Amino acid sequence: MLKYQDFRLGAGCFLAAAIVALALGGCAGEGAPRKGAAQVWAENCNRCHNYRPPGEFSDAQWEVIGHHMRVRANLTAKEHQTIVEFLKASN
Amino acid sequence: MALVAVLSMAAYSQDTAAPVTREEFERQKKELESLKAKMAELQDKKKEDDKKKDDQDLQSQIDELEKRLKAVKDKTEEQKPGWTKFVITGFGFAGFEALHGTKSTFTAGFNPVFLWEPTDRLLFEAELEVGLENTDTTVALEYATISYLLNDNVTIGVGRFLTPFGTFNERLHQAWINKLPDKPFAFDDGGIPPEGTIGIEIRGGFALGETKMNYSVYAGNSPRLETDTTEAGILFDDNLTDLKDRKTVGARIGFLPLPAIEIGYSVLTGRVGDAGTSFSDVNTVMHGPDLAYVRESELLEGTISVFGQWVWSSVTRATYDPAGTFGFGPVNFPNHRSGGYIQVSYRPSKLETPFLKNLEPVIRFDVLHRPNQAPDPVDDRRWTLGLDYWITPSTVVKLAYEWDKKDVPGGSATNANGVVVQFAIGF
Repeated sequence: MLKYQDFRLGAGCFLAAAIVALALGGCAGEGAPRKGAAQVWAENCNRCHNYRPPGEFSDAQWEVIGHHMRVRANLTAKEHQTIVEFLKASN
Repeated sequence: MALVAVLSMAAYSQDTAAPVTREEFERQKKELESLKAKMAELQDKKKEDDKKKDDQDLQSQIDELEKRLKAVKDKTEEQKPGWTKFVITGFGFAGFEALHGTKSTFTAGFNPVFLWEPTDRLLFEAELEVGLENTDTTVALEYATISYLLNDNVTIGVGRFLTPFGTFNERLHQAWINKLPDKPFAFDDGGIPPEGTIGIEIRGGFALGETKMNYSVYAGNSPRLETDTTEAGILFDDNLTDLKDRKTVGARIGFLPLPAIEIGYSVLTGRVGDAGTSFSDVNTVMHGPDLAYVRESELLEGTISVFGQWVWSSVTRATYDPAGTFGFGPVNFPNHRSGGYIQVSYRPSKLETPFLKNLEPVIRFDVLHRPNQAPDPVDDRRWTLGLDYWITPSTVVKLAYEWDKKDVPGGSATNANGVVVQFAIGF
């Protein structure tokens, strides 16, 4: 059984890895190929729950809910922007 | 009229057949020209009158429209929101459960979520959990977090937040999202990782080529170690004011090799025993993987979802109720716990038949292992078979049957089999 100190070390390494990944992420930017807005919406929202119809909320409400989901689901800035614009355009 | 008169005169002249003198002809010609001029004058006057009337009508219509436009403008101004945005969302549910060994009961709950976005980078989010427990209505603060988007890949949050340990607690436990009426044992009240943490978190996501990664790193008040009841050794997240200086730190990293798959791993460690007590050196470490696979398939004519999560937990060995004051001690045991779940569901969402396309069968296996020498050493192993009917994308009726086997070391196994029904709505 691992001891607390070992786990502290492991956790420290994990945090360090997270910070490195964070820095890499900042450098990596949005390298993924461009996808359609509907695809980005479907892939990200449907991973946890059913799609909510665009007409269910107003444009202003989608902006707030999109922000909330960006934080909750760790969406990238690009995904967040694409999904919110898609929902507003489909509203 | 003049023309009719002239023609009548001409006809009369023909009828009389009398010869017309030159003078008479000239006189009639003058009269005709005079009548023509008069007629033209009358026509001009009529046109002028008509135009005036049209202008008046038009002006009155314009006045009416302007009046209405002003009323609409006034109404719009009254309802014009400020530059901040506020949304109330959330979910509610009602249910019924009849499990072997306990009295059947109806249940209900209401979880409003408040979202306030003062600027494009700032967000305040809070959720209340209003529930019913015995004779009381309970209200709990699930989370209240202020977060700031530092840049495209980093968000900083402070306050009470859902602990980002795995995905169930953060993303899947909400009644309108969870495909079964209850939570897996390991991630329910009295489970293993704390549901909420008060502290600070840094999180975000970023693309790596065609794949994606996300991360959450946090520090906060440590979970509370129960010491005085038969739940001794269990960690709870109700330590609203921490009783020690050493805090918990934790992190989760998620990797999406494909958009349909997310694999994650979480760790958490911290001191959980209260300072100034015999438990002041008690620490915990917990860690575990999680998995999500959700794919819409033309071949399967629907969506298949697979979710899973596991956690191992270790708490420093300690002696609980050393003097027997609380009636269950002294007990000293290696405090290792583990548990998790795997859940598979399928919804034929691409079928034409409206009734069938809204059905979603679900199967889940979940387990929670507790220490054999603990005061409450029950191991739970449960299979759950459910059937959901989606009335709208966020409104669902869930019907489930559970086979829950409870093993007690040295004792006979019991069961808590039964039916659980829930009607949930997300708004």
